[in-house]
Amino acid sequence: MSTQPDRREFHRIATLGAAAFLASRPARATVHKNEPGIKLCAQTGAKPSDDELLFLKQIGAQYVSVGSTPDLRTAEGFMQIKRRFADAGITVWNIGNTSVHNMSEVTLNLPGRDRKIEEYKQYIRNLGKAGIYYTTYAHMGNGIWHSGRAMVRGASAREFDMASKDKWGQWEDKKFYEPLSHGRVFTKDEIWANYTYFIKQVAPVAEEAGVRIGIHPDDPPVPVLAGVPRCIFGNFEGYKRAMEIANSPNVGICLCCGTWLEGGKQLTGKDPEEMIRYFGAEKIWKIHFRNVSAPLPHFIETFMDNGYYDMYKIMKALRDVNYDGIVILDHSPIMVGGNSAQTAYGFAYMKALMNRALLDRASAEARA
Amino acid sequence: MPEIKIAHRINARAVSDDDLLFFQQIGLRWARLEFGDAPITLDQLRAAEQRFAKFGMQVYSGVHYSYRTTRLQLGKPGRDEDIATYCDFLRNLGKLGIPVASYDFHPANTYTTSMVQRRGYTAREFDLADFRQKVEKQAFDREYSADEMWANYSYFMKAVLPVAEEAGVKLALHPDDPPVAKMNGVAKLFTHYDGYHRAEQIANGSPNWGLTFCVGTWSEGGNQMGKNVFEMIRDFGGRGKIFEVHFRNVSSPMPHFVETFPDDGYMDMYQVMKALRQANFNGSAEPDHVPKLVGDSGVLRAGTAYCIAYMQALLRRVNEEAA
Repeated sequence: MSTQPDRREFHRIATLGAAAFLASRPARATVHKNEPGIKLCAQTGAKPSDDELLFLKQIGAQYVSVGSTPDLRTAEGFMQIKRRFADAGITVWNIGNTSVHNMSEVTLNLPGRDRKIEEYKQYIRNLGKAGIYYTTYAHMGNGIWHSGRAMVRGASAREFDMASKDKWGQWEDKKFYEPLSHGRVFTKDEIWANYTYFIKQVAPVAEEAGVRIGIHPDDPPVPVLAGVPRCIFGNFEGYKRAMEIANSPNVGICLCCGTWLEGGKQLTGKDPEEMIRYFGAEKIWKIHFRNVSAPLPHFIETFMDNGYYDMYKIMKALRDVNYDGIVILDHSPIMVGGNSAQTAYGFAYMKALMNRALLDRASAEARA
Repeated sequence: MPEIKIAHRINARAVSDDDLLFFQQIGLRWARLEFGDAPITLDQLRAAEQRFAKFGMQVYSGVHYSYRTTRLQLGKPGRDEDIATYCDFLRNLGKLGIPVASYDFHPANTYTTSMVQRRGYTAREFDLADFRQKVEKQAFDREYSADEMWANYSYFMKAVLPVAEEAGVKLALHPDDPPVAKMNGVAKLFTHYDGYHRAEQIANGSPNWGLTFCVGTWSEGGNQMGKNVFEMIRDFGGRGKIFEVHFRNVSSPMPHFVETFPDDGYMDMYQVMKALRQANFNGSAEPDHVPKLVGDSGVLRAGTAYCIAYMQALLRRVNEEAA
């Protein structure tokens, strides 16, 4: 795939010249500057109990990424969520909305896509009004794929095996199956055109609302699944071109390291560390900090410490690029002790790596 | 390559299968088995070992409180019976190839003056002024001097060390927590480097005498300990005399401290792990006391997960950096 801007972009750059190109960015684009520093973040529900809030404080979580329920998907609802956490001293970084997080209608140009895009725009405006300045989007036509569960150190975890005949894709309550999840084969050009159609409409809204959109990779990043190419957010070149098409300070990346490790360098072109060093803090805004047993064709999600990748490489790269977004535990294998044990385990592991990375820089600075 | 073994202290009689599965899930491969003071036979010990093995855990050390009786530690009649019980325990550990027995020697100790909240979690607090004013009272019929306690410790060592040597079990002496030289009328010996130095002389070069080095206790003492945490690790650890490490942190040195999660105290636990690795330490490192998180009970799963994950991340770093 070409690393050059697409023809249309190239034409525009050539015609206007660099200065004019920069000036052509929307005058009203707003990007809120983050406080400096890597932010360890926990995932929570929208209506935490007092005990849940206390737990977050106890493990030292100062930021949360929250999943919303349908009744709270308004600006006022988002503000209500924000206040509930703020009263406990916790900052809400992101409020998700599964209804528009990943839309087959948009990715595959199915009936109703314009309605979904309008719903998405309203969601972005609501976030902006509520002072939530980040959200994650995914461009998967047929969801996240599984082939079953496997045991990792006695804990049940998601498994995916290309060789499995029973594998399925899933988004919320919708399931997708081979050979064709949507009745026909889609071309790469279609997926690109549908992305362009979406992002060109959505980016100006995000710019006006001051919200950043981080795009999550296709999980798993198999080139084609059930007739749908995963050509954009499954490899480095795809991301690079997608960022060029969006051409917006408000469109960037949610780097799911788990997904990226599933792909392995052979499919993705760059490993997580290289992605972070290439795109930097200017484009990477959220990190899903998880590990897997091996790259495709067959992987099992693992705990952070027992997958094939050394997660410290990620933390070091984040330090080096002065990353100022959030880092979050994602898809833990299921432990006896449930969510709190899983969260405590993941959070502490990330904390130890972050502290180590920062100490390393502090001592380098002291030597200099 | 020396391998630091991340372990956890587990009540072998009370732990449930669910808890053992949980320990397996967080990646624990070593355990310190505690049996309290009720009699423990070789068969029971073997059954416990086999039960833990089903969950992927090996037994690194064993604790049986027959050493902890008042008559043994205060040199009263009947102590030989307790010593005999403890010797049986050591022989049984040896028969199963369990390498370490951990013990302490501080009757009449007060660990805690109150339980407090730190970062919202519940943890043990010790305040020396509170202790002296509100808690301290003579624990026994009379006061016991350091000389007497040394005599009692020596008597115990002379009896158990040869048995430990024959059984192939290492005796790992825990310091007196908190490191206050006298509490409740009884002198405490292992509150300073000098105490360990003298104990080592009493052991007279036995390879089976060494330390359960409690980083928490030593951090509680601050600069009053003769040697600091890192000097202790270089000295005793460098000579292979540290068998077990309690890897925990506190808010500040005495006269007042609160136990903390590893990342939340004044000691830099990464530097501690690094020092252990540099000393070629190859025994167990254990969270020891786990602060209580909301919703936790029993084995304190969430708190334990937090401590073990933090240690695993540190250990991997220091191993990679040493490679």
